[in-house]
Amino acid sequence: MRIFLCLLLLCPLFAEEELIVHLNSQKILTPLYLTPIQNKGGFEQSYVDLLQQVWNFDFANDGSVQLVSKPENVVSLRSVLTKKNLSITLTNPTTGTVHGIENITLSGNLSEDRKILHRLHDTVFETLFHTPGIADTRILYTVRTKKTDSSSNWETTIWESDYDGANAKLLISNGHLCVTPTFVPALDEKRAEHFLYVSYQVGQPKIYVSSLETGIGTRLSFLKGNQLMPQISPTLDKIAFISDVTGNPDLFVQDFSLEKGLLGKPRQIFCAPSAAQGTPTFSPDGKKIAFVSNKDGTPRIYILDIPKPGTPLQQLQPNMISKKTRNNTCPNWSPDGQKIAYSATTAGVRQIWIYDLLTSEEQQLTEGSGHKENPVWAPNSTHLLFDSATDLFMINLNQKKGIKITSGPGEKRFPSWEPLKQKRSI
Amino acid sequence: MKTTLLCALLTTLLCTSCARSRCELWEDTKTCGRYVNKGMRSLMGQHVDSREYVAYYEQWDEGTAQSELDYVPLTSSDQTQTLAMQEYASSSKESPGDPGSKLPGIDGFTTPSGKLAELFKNIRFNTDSYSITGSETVASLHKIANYLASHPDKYVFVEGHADERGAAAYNLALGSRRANAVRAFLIQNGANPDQLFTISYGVERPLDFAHMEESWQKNRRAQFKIFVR
Repeated sequence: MRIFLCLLLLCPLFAEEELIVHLNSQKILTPLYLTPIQNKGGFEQSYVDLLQQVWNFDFANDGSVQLVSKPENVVSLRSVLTKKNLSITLTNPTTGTVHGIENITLSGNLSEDRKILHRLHDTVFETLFHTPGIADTRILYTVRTKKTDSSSNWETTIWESDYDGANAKLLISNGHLCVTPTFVPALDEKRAEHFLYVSYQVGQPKIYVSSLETGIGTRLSFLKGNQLMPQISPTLDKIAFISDVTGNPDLFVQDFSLEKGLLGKPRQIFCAPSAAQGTPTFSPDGKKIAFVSNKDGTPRIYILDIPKPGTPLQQLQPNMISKKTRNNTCPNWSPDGQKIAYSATTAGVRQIWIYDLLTSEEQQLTEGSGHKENPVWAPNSTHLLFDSATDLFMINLNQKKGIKITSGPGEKRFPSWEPLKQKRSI
Repeated sequence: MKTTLLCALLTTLLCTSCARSRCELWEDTKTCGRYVNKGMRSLMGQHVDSREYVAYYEQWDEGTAQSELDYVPLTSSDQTQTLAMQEYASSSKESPGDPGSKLPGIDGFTTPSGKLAELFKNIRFNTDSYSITGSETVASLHKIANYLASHPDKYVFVEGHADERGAAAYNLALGSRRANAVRAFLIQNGANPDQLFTISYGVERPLDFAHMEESWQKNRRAQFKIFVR
């Protein structure tokens, strides 16, 4: 009896320990020695120092490299700037290979040169690891600021920036609330050219599409009621969103074409009595949707096979995947199809968790104070962006240290990471 | 003789029990036709809405048939089972602010003032809840429903808000649920669905910016905006 009581008292200790779980690093980081950029004239040293910072950030946070201070027996990258031409040499002592790129002309414009360095990083990364890097990608996000007039209202704008938060460019600013921007993936050979977002400019929130070039939004859906949280399938043939046209926030899908926009009528694919549904995200093959519903009490993450038209409600079998924690929100399906990131309240704080679809395990990725939400995957399925407090943070599964990538006034929220289909040449 | 009598009795019984009015016969024929049509369309892989769903919308406007819905609703496989969505109020004909609408967007609606401010009080909710509770709240909503029923020229936006403690994206859905709960209550108590619209702001428009329970209580609310045509 005493032994039993002792075990009973020890149980909470084990339960406590279960919550503090971290993903194991998927791979060992490769040591790399990055020589300081050798400046042989052409630019001020202060400018070269700025370039060096970009270079350092890319390698220090790419999830596969660990920068080391000594060049002995490790991969090394030597950079020489002759006048305005940059040459790099990558030496791998293990394989005995040497790769070089000569005479990449820099402009002296930091915005432009940052992009060139990002592309160079991705080229080096692909040479080393045979997989595309993510330094030459873009992100979208909203910035919420309080209006300066006497009203207590907020204004939200949509911004685009490089993956590291630099080169921020204002896309949408019409004095109205705008939320949940998301890239529209491009067809095979191109970069994303459009994005979807929700704007309150006619009153109720409606779905708009805009060019990344012009930032001019066009209404995409004329459905009645509130339309929220649009997501486009990676297969580019449908969008999912939440609408209360039925009188309840339910899950809808609608056929989509990059050339013609929305096709046919939106189709209600999930509803539950007195429950709110939210934040849909597609599987990479576009056949499933993960979403939030509070149909069983606290909000949880569910996966639903997108039903064929005419499938009765009783045949829908959403599968609840998040069971360890409460208040689970904002799921985001990784491009490799193996993981779903989401936000979950853990010991009173919203943390980022990851559900592994291969093992059906939930694991906590972040910790510490400050609510973290809206996680989105990078195209490499290793890096994530999320918002916390007033800024965006980047984290990757192999390094697990959140890096703040934005600064300045306003709350930065609802990040979206540009999907990639093909590497780009320098 | 007995056999003749029995035959006559049976014939009389059969003839009278099977007798149907022309109306009934026509209704039966239509029902049969609907099922055959539905079956054929299902075989062809086409979606068919349930009759119950259409009947629900017809209670407000017989002209609002399934063919006029601008979306394809989920259906029930069991004809006797009520669809989950049927507990909610039907959508309004207008979409304020949209092209062709006779009503402006929410910018054309105003915050109730004077006596109307007393009537259209904010409705408060418990944390992560959209239930309408409390005798005062219910009484307040009854008054609003009565007012709208007797003032068909008034149009109301019900705004759904949440406090800052939930995730921003989820709170947009929660705000929608709260606004729709109030709208449904008003319709169930006499307001016309065409007078009522919802908008969800989630956490985007707090009333009180402090980070304490008292402020959060104020921010978990449904709020009203009015337009007079």
